[in-house]
Amino acid sequence: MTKTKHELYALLSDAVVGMDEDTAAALSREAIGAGYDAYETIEQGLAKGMERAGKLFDESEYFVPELLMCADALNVGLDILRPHITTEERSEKHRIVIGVIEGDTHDIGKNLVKLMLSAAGFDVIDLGRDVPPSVFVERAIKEEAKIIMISSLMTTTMDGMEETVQLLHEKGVREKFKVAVGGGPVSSGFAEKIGADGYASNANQAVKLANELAQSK
Amino acid sequence: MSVSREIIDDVFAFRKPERVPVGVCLGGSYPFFVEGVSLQELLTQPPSRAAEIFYRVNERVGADFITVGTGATALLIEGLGGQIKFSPKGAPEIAAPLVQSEADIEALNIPAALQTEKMQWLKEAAAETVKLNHQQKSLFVSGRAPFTLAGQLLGLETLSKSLYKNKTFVEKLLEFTVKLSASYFEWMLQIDGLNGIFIADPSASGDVVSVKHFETTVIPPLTAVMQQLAHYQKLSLIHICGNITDRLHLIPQTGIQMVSVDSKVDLQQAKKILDGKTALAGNVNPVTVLEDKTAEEVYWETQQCLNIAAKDGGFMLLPGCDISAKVSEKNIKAFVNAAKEWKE
Repeated sequence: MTKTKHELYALLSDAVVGMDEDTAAALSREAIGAGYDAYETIEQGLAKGMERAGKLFDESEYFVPELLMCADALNVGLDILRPHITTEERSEKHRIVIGVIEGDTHDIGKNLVKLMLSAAGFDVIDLGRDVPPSVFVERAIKEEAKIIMISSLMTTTMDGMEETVQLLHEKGVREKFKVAVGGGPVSSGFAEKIGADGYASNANQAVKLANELAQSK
Repeated sequence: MSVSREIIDDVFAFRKPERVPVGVCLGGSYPFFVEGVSLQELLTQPPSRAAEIFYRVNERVGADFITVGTGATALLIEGLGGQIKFSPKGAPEIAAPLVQSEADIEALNIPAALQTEKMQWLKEAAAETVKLNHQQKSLFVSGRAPFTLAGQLLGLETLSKSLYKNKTFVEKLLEFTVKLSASYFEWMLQIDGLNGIFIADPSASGDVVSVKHFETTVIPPLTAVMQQLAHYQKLSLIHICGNITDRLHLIPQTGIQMVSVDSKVDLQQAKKILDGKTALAGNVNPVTVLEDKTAEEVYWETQQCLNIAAKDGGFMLLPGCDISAKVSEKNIKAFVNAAKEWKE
């Protein structure tokens, strides 16, 4: 018997939380076969699952390996469902430029934030790791981003975040962007000190912060 | 009056020390930064120059505990055939994963990696530091633990997924990194006058892996390294980043004698969990306290930390993680003096 779309969305969400790529793929194909809306299936099924995984991460039930496994299940489903999204459903998304600051190649945190932001519907431009402040600024301008997100895992490279904020001021474009920072040694006090607009302690918090910053003027 | 080394020996042996010992650098790049020279530049100069800078800065700030071997992990991985990138702001970074398959692991040659010019330079710099020390301070050789090395060889993201998707491969990789870690420490311990080993395991952080994975993939390889090094009878200290309160109880079984914890760990709780089986070190915040506060505030905050953890010995004062070049020497001296002047 065909599942109702709400049953299927719930199972899809469970497959993501359960790190089950095969089930996520099978259910995504089933959704297409049953004629369910692909965009809604992503939002109500896959993205909901990733949101739940993020909460488990917040609660220290899940850690980096589990979140990455959930993301793999999400991506398997996305690959199947995305080609079926109609043009009119591709609504305007807030664009975020994200990267790890110069001198630092630890990008796993940044990659998790990117995954969570993408699942939450943001248009994420990933600049990679070891990114100089000037590149953050140039790309944010070029891509007409709303938010710049900078990560650092090392106390020795955090200064580059402040340089990025200063560079935005020097170029007279500070007001055009919201700047958010994160990473192991970064704190809300540090964010405030360097003049950033926000700080997130982990990937799930980063999504909440991005939503707040996207809504702010 | 005891010298620094003897005070640290007392702490490791849970004898009541004359005063609380203190270390300033965990990874050890700070002395180079403040002297305005990078590791890359130093590698073109005699090893004695690096030793002189390193020792002088630690001496100037009054550290009892010094690590040698800054940059060893990246240089070792370069010796294995990996690509590294020197940083003006920190230790060299691994530019790309070196290992993707079991065949890649089999092709790696540890003895050859230890014989490169850069690794020889590093060892000579450590030996020169020992000469300057005259057994006054406690000198520890720094290196990485097997789990973190596995992440550096494979990429932490791939390692994380492989914990679920390819457990056999992870086992093989960890077998190799146990050999790599132990071989490196053994090779450095050939230098007479080194007092201990300092193992960093940042990827085993409470922010990265679960207690379950910590127990199954971090603890057994660490224990294997410690067993291989046991006959050297050197002191041993591990630093793990993040909040590791939920896994501290697993540390004593590795044979490691002291654990250095991040600022996120409650020292009182940590001391209770370790229960005299493993000594404790930490954990003044390197950014929000050491970098951002005034010297007076640093002194006060450090004394608070000591009030919690230093009673009855078994404790060494360290920053909660490595410090950046932006931490003022005035603040470091306030941090050090807080330890040296602290009384129960």
